[in-house]
Amino acid sequence: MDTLHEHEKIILQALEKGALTEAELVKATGLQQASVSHASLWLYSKGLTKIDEAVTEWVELNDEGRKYLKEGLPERKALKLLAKSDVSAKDLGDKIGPAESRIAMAWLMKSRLARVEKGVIKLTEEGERALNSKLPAEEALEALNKKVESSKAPVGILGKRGKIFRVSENKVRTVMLTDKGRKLVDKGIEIGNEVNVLTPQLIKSGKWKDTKFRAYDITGVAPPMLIGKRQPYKALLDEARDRLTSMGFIEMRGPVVETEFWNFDTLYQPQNHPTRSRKDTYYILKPNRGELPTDHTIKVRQAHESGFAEGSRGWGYQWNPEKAKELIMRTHTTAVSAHAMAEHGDKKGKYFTISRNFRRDVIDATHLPEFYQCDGIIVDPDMNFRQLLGMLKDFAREFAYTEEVRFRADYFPYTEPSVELSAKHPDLGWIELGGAGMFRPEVREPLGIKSEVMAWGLGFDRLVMLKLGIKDIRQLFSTDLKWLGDVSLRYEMK
Amino acid sequence: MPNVTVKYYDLIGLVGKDLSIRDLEGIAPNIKCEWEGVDGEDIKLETTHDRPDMVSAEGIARAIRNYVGLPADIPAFHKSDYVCDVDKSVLEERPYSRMFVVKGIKLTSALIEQLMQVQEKIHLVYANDRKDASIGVYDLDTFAWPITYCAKEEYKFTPLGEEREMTCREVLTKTEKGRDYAHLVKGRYPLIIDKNGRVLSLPPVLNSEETKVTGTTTNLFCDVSGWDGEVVEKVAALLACALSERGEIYYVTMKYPDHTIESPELKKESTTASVMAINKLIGSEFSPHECIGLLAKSGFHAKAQGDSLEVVVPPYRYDLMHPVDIAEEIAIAYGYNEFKPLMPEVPTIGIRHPLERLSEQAREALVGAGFQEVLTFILCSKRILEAAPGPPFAELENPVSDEYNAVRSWLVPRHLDFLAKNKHLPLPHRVFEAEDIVITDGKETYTRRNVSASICNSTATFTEMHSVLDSLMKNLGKEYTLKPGKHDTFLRGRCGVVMVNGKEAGVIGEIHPKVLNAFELENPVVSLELCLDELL
Repeated sequence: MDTLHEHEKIILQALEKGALTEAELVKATGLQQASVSHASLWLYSKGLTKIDEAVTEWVELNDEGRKYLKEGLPERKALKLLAKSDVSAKDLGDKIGPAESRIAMAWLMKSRLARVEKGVIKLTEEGERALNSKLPAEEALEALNKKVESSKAPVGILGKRGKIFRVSENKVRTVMLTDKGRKLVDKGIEIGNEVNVLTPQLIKSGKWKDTKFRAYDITGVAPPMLIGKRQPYKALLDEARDRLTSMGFIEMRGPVVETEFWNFDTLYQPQNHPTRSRKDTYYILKPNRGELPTDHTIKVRQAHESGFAEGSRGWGYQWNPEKAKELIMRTHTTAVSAHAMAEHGDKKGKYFTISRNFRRDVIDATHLPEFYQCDGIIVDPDMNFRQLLGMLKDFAREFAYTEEVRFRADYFPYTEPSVELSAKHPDLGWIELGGAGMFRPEVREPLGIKSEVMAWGLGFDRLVMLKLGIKDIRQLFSTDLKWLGDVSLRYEMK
Repeated sequence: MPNVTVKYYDLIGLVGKDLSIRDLEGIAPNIKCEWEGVDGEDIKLETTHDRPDMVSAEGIARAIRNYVGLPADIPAFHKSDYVCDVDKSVLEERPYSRMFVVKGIKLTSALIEQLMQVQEKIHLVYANDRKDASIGVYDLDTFAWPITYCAKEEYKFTPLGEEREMTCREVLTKTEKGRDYAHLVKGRYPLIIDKNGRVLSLPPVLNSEETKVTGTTTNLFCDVSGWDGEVVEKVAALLACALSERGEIYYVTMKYPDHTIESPELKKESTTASVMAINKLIGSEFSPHECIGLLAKSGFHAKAQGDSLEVVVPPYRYDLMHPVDIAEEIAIAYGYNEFKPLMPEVPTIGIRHPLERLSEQAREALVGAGFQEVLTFILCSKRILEAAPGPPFAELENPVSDEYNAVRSWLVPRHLDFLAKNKHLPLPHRVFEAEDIVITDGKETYTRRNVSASICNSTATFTEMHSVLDSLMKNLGKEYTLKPGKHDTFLRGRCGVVMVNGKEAGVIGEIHPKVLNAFELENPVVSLELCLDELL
């Protein structure tokens, strides 16, 4: 009872004496038609009323019929002409048009109002009489000028005259109490002192104490609302950043447009290496050259040409500083590690970055021209390869939630030994997480580091796709606002 | 990384020991190969760039023999009377070359496949697509010695796969290979010609039809020529070592205008490494004796003298530059997965980068203000950057498509594009992003971290975004002022420059209707963009 809207109560009361149509309810309650309809439906959904829907068919003249009513039926036009004089069939056609003359002739003959003698049409006696009285068809037309229930409509009299009236349906809803409704009404319905809205006045004045608040129906559907939230891929990268910070790593940052020097040369990738070509790497058109650092360039050059580090013979080619100056889109975040080594030198430290990289590739469901990579280094004189394996195992646990890892020998120009890390995912099996290794002396010594440096680069794309339940890698950079809004924050629940 | 396919029975024949597929799969990681799977008789492997000796069944078989302890040294090459005169004319056209002969081979389809695979991989991966070096293989018994390597203005021969004689010019213009490699022949045509004036090949383009290898071939002649002397020499040595698994190698005496060499030249190199340094790098406790055993598995002969290892480098290995490379050989032979991992103990305190931290704080404020974070590409189309003009941007020299041919210099254009893609969804749209952009003054490029927010709504106004800016700046603890701005992307009189510490730190305003039209946006958009570097 408390949850009934005031309109519902009014209608229940009006139905006490018996069933009423909606139109009758409008009269009886003084409510608007729409309010009556809504409230009747609410009551119906609560099982308090029944609604009988009677469908009635109505007939009414259409525009063509109204034209007849206004201008007169073809036979009336013919009668008026014949009242003046007899006419030939041809003359009749010329006067009222061939179509109407055909209809007029058919009706005049059928009702015996005229006859034809030697090609001339003459009125009969009945025809003379009809001049001053209405034809049954005319009476029918007048009756149909207003809506008439189809069972009472005189459509037969009009015969086949084409479409001169239209048929419409009308639904009449009769509302009556159910047994449940009857019981409620019998208990008595209280109307008048309920309040919908809790207003500041009610609160301040204390009037709320004497007010009865209408209970809402709280089971309905909520209107949609857009919330603000983090992009899911970025949110997962945030988590990774927090983990790495909590593991004691210092975050680094570097430029996305980079010289080949920092992207390749400091990392001991020879200048004729296939990735240092227009085919694999994006080059900048203008400006196309950057600056080389004053303090490291000569040493890096020596590393390429003759090894620089003790015991190394280097690549043994003539290093070209112009090639090193070329500006490219960074191909790997290991370039950021190179900057960090040059900046921090031999000081013990742990560094990481999670940043964007670029590769010259067409974009499709499995390739993106841009991707995030997580790179990091640990600088320490006592670092060794087994510790690197331990670190990688830890990453697999932190990021892929698995203890099962596999190491495979791999090749990077900048690390030795080099290793590739795979982790076993319960659904996908072995997935590659990234590459790692101990930086070669030819990499670290020109940058001023005698200590060992372990380095790793991890890719999270596949893990993130798995967590977000997406199959197309392009969705990591989704342009669909609806998907971004709807995707669950609790990624682990899929 | 190079993908290599070998036939199971061919590989087993070369190894000379009955190993199962499973055995081979188990050995693969210890010879630096990734097992890619089996397809019928084919075994698919991925090798690494540093090991051109591993792009053939012969090289892989040798590595397996080393690993399982079977003899695997390169047999001695034989002296011969084969002579090639190198004419000085060719020194200007394709100066470097090496040649040798292989006798007593059994020609099988597997061998032909391997010869093709080696040529393809070496050419593409290691020889700059035939410019630095290219390989030719011929039936030894189809031509007469001595031969000449020379360059000629014009000459005629029947190229491989053709039925008639062609001039060299025709070969370069009328055959498929000719057209592919014509750019490598700039001047006169380099040719290998036999005693009777018959052409063996026009390197690096095509061999002759007459000297081709057939099902009845039992002896091979091989040449490697190119522009990079070091690569030519390495490739010849690698190929001779590989083919020594199939037959007996004979030297060819190459007479240059000013010197004579026995080809191919196999290097004899040794290097030293400290056992202590190896153990320190790996974190292992191998004895010198264990090191020698593990190196043998990788094909190295080594002797120990106290802590020092004297290691002989096999003639097909060119990847060793430093003792750390010896350490990796030992680690791989031992097996990476056999090591017990240790945890590095370097006690440090983790710190977020100040700019990343600031980005995170700005993001938190904007999420709180009801904005959806989006993520867009740094690469962008010039068209989009020009449709919403902003700071000067850098263009790519070698884009793959017009969609990504420039580097964004601010975030607003990307976000207008994003909003346009979502215009079918109910409004309002509130989006933001804090990411890198790159600006340029034409001389240098600078990576900056910007944050940008946009509202698209039928009722969006400057004031609405002004409130966002105001609360964002308060939350980031920065005082700011707005001064009226002139900006092509914004409506005049409804655009402000955000000033922080007397410097321009950003822009805010209602997007100009002509810009909205350009993006086919049908509702007003109001945007804000700040450079976080200026707010540090």
